[in-house]
Amino acid sequence: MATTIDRRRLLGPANAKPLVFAPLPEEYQQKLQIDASKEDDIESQITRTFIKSGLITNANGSSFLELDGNIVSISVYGPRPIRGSFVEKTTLSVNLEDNTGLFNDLLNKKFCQYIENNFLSVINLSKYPKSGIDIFINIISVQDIDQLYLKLLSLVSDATTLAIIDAGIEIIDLVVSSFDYENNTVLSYIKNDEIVGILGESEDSIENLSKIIEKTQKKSIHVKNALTTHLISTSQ
Amino acid sequence: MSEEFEFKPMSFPPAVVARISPELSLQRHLAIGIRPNLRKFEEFRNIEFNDGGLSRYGSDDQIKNTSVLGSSVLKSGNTTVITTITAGIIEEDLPAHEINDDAAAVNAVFAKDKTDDSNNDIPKSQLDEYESIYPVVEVERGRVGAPTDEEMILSQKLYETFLHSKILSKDSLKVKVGLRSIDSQGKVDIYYKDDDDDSEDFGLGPKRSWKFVLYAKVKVFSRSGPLFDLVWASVLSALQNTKLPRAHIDENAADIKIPVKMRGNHGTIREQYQIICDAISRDPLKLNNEAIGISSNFGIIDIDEESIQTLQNEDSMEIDSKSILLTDIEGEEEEISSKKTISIVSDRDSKNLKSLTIIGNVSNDQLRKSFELTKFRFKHFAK
Amino acid sequence: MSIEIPSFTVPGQPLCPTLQKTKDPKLVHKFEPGNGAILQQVEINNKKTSIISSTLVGKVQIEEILEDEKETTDGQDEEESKNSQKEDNEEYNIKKFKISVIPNLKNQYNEFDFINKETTNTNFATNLPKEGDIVLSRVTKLNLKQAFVEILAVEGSGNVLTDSGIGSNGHGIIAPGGGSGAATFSIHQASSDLGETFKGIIRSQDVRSTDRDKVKIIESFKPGDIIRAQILSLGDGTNYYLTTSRNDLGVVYAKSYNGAGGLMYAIDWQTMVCSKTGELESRKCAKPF
Repeated sequence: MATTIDRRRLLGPANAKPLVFAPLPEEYQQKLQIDASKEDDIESQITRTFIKSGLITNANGSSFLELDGNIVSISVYGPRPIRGSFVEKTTLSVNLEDNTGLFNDLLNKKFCQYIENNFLSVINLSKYPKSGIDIFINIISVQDIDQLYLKLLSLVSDATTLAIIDAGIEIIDLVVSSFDYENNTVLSYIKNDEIVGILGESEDSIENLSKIIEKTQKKSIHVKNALTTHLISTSQ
Repeated sequence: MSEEFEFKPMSFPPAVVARISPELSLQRHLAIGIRPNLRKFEEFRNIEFNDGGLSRYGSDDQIKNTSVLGSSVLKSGNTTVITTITAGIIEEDLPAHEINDDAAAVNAVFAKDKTDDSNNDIPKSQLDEYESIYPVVEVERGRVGAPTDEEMILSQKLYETFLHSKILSKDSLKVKVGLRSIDSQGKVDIYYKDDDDDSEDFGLGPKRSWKFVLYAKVKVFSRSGPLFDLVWASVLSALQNTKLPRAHIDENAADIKIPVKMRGNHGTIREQYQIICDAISRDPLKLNNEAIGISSNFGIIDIDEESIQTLQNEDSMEIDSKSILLTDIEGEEEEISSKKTISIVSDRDSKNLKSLTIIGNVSNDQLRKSFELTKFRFKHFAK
Repeated sequence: MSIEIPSFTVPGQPLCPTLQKTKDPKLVHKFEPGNGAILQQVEINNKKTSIISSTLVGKVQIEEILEDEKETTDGQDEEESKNSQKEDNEEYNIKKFKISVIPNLKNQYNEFDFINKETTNTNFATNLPKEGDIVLSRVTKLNLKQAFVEILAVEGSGNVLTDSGIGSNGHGIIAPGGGSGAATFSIHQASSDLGETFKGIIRSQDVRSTDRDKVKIIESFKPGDIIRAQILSLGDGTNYYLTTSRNDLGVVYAKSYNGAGGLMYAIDWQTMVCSKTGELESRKCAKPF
């Protein structure tokens, strides 16, 4: 139990215990089971996806993405002034806020690190001296935190691309991510074949790497087309 | 005033004037009969909500693996408020003699100077029969760290207004504890005592009771004005679709007494029960629906003659009164300039007042007008 | 062969090579990246070439970079007009163009057609103040040597920062890092303490161009005044350096008695008058047109 009392938030009685749910009976679990072929069918995933940019008006840019029970909202603040000494390039920070209560600290860090790495290499940092760019990721709903969290990460990455574009921040190319369910790996690409980020969490993902790359690259081209179409149709 | 000086302040775009001098911008808008957000003086923003499907008990019999029990996604203007309701379980503090057979013995050891208070029937205040929820409001503003004053004030006001509105009775939060048993074939059975079931306790059941504690996490996006109205509506709509799971005691945690030794004294304490919530069965949360009402806010702006003089004469409108009542404050200009505000929370039929906050020198007429508007708004809201 | 330059782009889309042949063998077009465009090295058929690609979503704008006294032509029509000009050039010639991407973002100055079109060409997606920009700023504090200001808007592109520091994030009852004490801050104090506004300094020698060593800051500005100023340099980590040493720069909006009184109007370059009381106060005023 925490020894310090949070006097700034109304957290309720300290001796209350969180709810513990019994495991779901089988017939319900089957409904939640993941269909691998469905995860591989990127085209139908794209048609199921709902995207909207610019909903958050007091951020510089924002995007909202919904797919298969995953809901994320990204807001980008900046370039905004920072305190301290002069910096020639803008600094990037990524924060993740989880509204579902499913994220642990490690997963939170993993997501932030991945997104930060992806976009550090893509944002035209030197355009924005003495300022900082803050990316806030809000996870509103998660499809399956145990098996499909990397799918969520790929969606977060795509949504971040849109939010950054909505903020009018210069990037050298669209970052598109794609997720491979079989090997539990997510890859992010720019310019169709340059990898800017990779996170694989299955045991043999290294052995299969070339196969995974081939597979995800194909997917990412579909995603890129979809993003481009979306951007052009919403901006004109 | 000569022509050239009037020319100057007009040479900035409206958005820039609003930034440089919010008061001036607002006064000029009001003088021509509109608000900066293009609403009429007495016009409320529309509020839309849905359950957002974030809850464990979503639609079409699908149970999600989350502990969210109720949810609401509210949109009003640009602002979005997302509320999720979660719960915890806490053992109720019952008088010792009700739980413990050897309470007297324990009291003799641990609370020597404490007399048996079961006979002191102090009349309970009405409020004691009701519970509140524990809200944490977060306003997204691209910043991390401790909550701001606004967030803390909102949370506290929600807590208090909810309690005093008497929406949630203590009874509705009681955990109906069932018992799980495994028979000789390994088949698991769970018995719940239903409301209409008057049969005696199973006999095995403990003489203890548990209750739910409800938490509301409220996340606000695109803040554009005072938030209490929206947050209030959002939390209430989330509670209306909240369902409480049925729970049973884990059989393994039997009624064990553990001997303890404290400062040389001997006694026994009881094992804490592990309460498991059923994966599927649940009951809707009972609310006192009559007490559920809406919240409205009003701002009063005094007209500044001088600011209006900077307008071209043909644009300005005749305004008879020296101050204007604005409903549902929105935007930087209105919020900064509203030094006098009224906030009203009423019950379902707008008959009873649940909360009233007045800041500044508000006249009777303005107060009466705002009550009328609240009633009027409710009639539309109910439709 | 000439490559067609797309009219509308998304980030990463190649716009054109840096050098491009034209129908006229003696004429070569050279492109330079402007706003929203970047120079990149790509490999095509094992040969490295440099191309210009887009970094924003928006319309592509091509402007000729004019040398000497060449005739000016307008941005978008460049492509057509160069054909007619080509015949006049007798030698092998390089024509330079600046290629930029203009985002479709709302521009508060574009919507307001009072300002002439020239200034809006500097339109920049995020309105970051940069050297040479004219900005509107509010005085936050003074000392003997300099005035401290916060930058509110960049002329030609609109307000700096959508959330104005604290504006739409709540004010009055908001604290910089949370906690109490914020309610006692005045609005602009709070925003400057938050580090959320771009701050600037006007040094006494930059207030006006004549008698620069006799300038008294207190007779030029007062806290709360809105000042039109030009950015001299990016300055240090915290502050931009600004100047008002031009006739059209200086105080544009002020209230008498340090903000307690009524609106004031400039009657000459160093005096303002309160329209209510007729009180005179000294300021370094901007010429009102």
